[in-house]
Amino acid sequence: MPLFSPASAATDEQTMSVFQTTADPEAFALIVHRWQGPIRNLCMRMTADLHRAEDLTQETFSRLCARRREWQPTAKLSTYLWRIAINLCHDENRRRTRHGEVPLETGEDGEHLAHITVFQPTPHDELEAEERADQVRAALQRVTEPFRTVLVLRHYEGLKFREIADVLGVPEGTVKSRMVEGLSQLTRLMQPALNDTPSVPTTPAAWQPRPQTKGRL
Amino acid sequence: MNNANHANHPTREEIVAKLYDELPPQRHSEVAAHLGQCAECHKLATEWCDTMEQMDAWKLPAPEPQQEFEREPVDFAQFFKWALAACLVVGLGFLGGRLSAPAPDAAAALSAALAPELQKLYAAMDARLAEDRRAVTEILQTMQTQRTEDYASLRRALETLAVNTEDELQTAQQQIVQLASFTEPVKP
Repeated sequence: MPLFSPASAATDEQTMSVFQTTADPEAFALIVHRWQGPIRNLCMRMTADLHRAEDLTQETFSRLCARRREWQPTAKLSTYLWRIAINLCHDENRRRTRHGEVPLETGEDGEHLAHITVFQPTPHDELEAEERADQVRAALQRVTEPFRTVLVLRHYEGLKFREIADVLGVPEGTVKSRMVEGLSQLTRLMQPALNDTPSVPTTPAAWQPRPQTKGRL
Repeated sequence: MNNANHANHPTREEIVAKLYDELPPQRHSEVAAHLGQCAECHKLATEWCDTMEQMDAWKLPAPEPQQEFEREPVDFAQFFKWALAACLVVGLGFLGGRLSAPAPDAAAALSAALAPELQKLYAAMDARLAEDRRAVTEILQTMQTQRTEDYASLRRALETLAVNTEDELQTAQQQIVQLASFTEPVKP
């Protein structure tokens, strides 16, 4: 079996270290193989655009390749990759906002949130599920930065608050505060939809912690 | 809800951390107990919980499976079929050639019969070539003789011209001297 086959047991950091020193294409291919899915998902959540997400994913790995000298072997590769991808997503979203491709952006205080209607009921269950997904996607795109980033990293990508703090370079407490604000904004945005969906149990059983299935760090 | 619980409201950050299971076990139990008793915190946690469930409605399409580069299996049957056809064509050609070719004895007899004629033909060709060579040599000698004669004739003509020119030049010089020494006679 080749040293850096997809089934290789080498850690991300070991693989990256080899790539950093020897520019071994097999090592880089292994990193891409392991991480392109999570990075693509992050870009998709952050931009809500599949094609942009694909481009940003490629750009993320291009930058990783170009800046491999900047990576410190003591740091986690995942943290480095998340950071590159998030910065690219922020740049892309800013560019879209400047060019008017994003129709509405709420203020930092969320003052416009109450005017956004993201709920449009549909008669069929399947369509309704798609519609609900669209509503979530649209609402999430209206959550302001930096709160959206924390929401995406925590909820969808499964990073712990501590890990998000490492990625963003801020204290863990700040991450939690941003999570509170992001969740609050999203709750307000989703309120019409929440009022229409079947009532969820409000007993403490509903507050069971989310299963941790996505954390890779 | 009692006052003690009010006084011990968990922070919103703690509630979020509890929902994502990131509180220490002891604090987790305390917050859970509080949420069961405090209507205000209960409402907040319920709203967030609903939102989190709604967020799960947005599922991304599963990435397409990585297409590993695999060599297509070589279709040996196809190669075998064409190889067999080629062998068949070559074999039939060889067989046809062998069958249609004259026997070795007939070729030797034919060669022996043609030998005298070939010898005559070769002799005639040699004689003709020798004759041509002689003719060419004579022509070249004639041309050389003519060229020598032309050269001598031209030389003689040039020498005659030079002698005549010299004589005329001397005559002209004498006339010039006479003309220069001529003096007009004085009139009476």
